[in-house]
Amino acid sequence: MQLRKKAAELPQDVITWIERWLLEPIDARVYAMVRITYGIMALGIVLELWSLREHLFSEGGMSYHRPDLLFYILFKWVRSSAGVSAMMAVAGLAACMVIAGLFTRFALAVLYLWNFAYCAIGYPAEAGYDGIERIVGFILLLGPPMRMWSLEARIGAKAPEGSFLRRFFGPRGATEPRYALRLMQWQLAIIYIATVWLKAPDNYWRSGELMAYFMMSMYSNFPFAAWAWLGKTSVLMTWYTLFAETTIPFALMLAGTDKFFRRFAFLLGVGLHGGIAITSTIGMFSLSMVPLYAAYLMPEDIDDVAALVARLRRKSSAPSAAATASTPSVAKVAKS
Amino acid sequence: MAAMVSANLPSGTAFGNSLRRPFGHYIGYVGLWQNWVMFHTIPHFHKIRPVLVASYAGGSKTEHGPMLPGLTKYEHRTRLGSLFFRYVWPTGDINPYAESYLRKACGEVARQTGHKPASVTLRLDSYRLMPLNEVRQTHKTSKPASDTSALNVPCS
Repeated sequence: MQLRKKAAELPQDVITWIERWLLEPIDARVYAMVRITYGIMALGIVLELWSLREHLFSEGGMSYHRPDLLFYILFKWVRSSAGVSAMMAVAGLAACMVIAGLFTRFALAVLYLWNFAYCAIGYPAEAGYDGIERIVGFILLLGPPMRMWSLEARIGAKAPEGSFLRRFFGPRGATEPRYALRLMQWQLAIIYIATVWLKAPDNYWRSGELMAYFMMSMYSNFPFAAWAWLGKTSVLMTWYTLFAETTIPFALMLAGTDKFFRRFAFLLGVGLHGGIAITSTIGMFSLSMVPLYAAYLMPEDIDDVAALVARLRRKSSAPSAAATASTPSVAKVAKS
Repeated sequence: MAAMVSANLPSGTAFGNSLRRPFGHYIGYVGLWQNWVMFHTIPHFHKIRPVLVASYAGGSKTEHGPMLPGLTKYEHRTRLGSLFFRYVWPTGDINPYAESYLRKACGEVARQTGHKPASVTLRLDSYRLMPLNEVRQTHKTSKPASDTSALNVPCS
C-alpha cells in the first residue's frame, strides 16, 4: 500500500525535483560574476584575433567565405578590410558593455553573432575556447536579466517611476532563477568528462610521459630538452591533469551547498588552469573556463571573497593610518 | 542539456548518427557543436614553419610565405598553427577551406611574381619531437622534418 502510494507520487516528485533544480532562486551576484567574467573572456578573444583579422576574415585572407553561408553569418555581407575591422571594434565594444552591464542582452546578441560568424568562416582556426564563448553566450542570451552590479541597475534606479528607462532597467530582486547557471554547470561537466574519455586510453597519458613531450612542444612557454630528465615531474603533472579533470565535475556537481567540496574542486581547477596559463601558449583557454566555474559560485563564496578583500584593505591602510597619526600635520607644525 | 551530451557522442558506434540526429539541426543552428579533443595524445612538433610551394609548367618551383593576403612569412600563433596543420592534413570538412586557400594563393603568387603557377601546395617544415630517450642522448628536443599537403591545387 505504502509502496503503491510512493510509486504514484514518483512522477510528481521527479517533476518537483527538476523544477527546483532548474528554477530555485540563486543570489543575483552569481549571475553578475558570470556576466563580468564572460565579458572579459569575449574581450580577450577579440584582442587575440585583432592582429589576425586581415589574414583570417577578410576577402583576401586564408578563410573560406562559402557561398551557402546563412544570412545571419555577418561575414556573408562584410568582407573588406575596413568592414572586418569595424565589426571587430563593435564586438570589442559589446564585450565592454557586457562587463559594465549596459544593454546587456543586446551586447550578448552581438557577441553571439560575431562568434558564429568568425567560427563559420575561420573554422580551421577555431579553438576550443571559441566554442565555450559561443555556448556560454547562447545560454546567457536565454538567461534571466543580469542586472546586479550593472550600469543598467544604476540607470534604472535613478530613472523616474513609470518612465521608459525604469521599465527596462528597473530594479529586480536579489535572486534570479538558476536555470542558465545549471546549463553552464552541465557544460563544464561535459567538457571534462569528454576530454578524459579521449585522453585516458592513450599510453602517453597513462605512462605520465605526456607532459614531458607537451613541455618540449610548440605549445610550451618553456620548451627545453631538460624536460626529458624530469620524469617524475612529468608523471605528477600528467596524472594531476587527469585526476583534476575527472574529479572536478563530480566534486562540483555533488558538492551542492557543501563549502568544503566546492572549494576543493575550485582549488583543483585553479591548479589545472593556472598551470596551463603559466606554462603554455593556450592561456586563453584558462580564461574561457572562468565563467563556467563562476556558475558554481554560491553567495557565501562571494561574501567570503568580499570579506577577505575588505580585511586586506584594512590591513594595507592600517600602517599608513598609523603613520599619519604619528606624523604631526602640516597645520599643527605651522601653528607651533 | 540533452543536446550538449548529444553533440559529444561518437558517431562510430553501432548507433551511428541516430543518437545525434534528433538534435542535429538544433545543434547546428544555435551553435552548440563542440569537440573536446584537447591533447588526447602528445603534440608532435617543437617548431613549425609552413611554406607555400608554387610549381610552374617547366618544372621549376618557388617558395613563398603562407600568410594571405600578401604571402608574408609565418609568425607562430597557436590558432595559425592549428589552421596550417588542418590545411596540410585536411579532413573531409576542412577540404573546401584548404582548396579555397590554395586557389587564393595561386592568384596572389601570380600577382606578386607576374608568373602564373601551374599548381600550388603547402609544405610544413618543422622540428619534430624525438622520443624522450633520444632527447636524453642527444640533448636536443627535436629533429628537422618536412611534410607536404596531399592537396595540390591546379591554378586554372
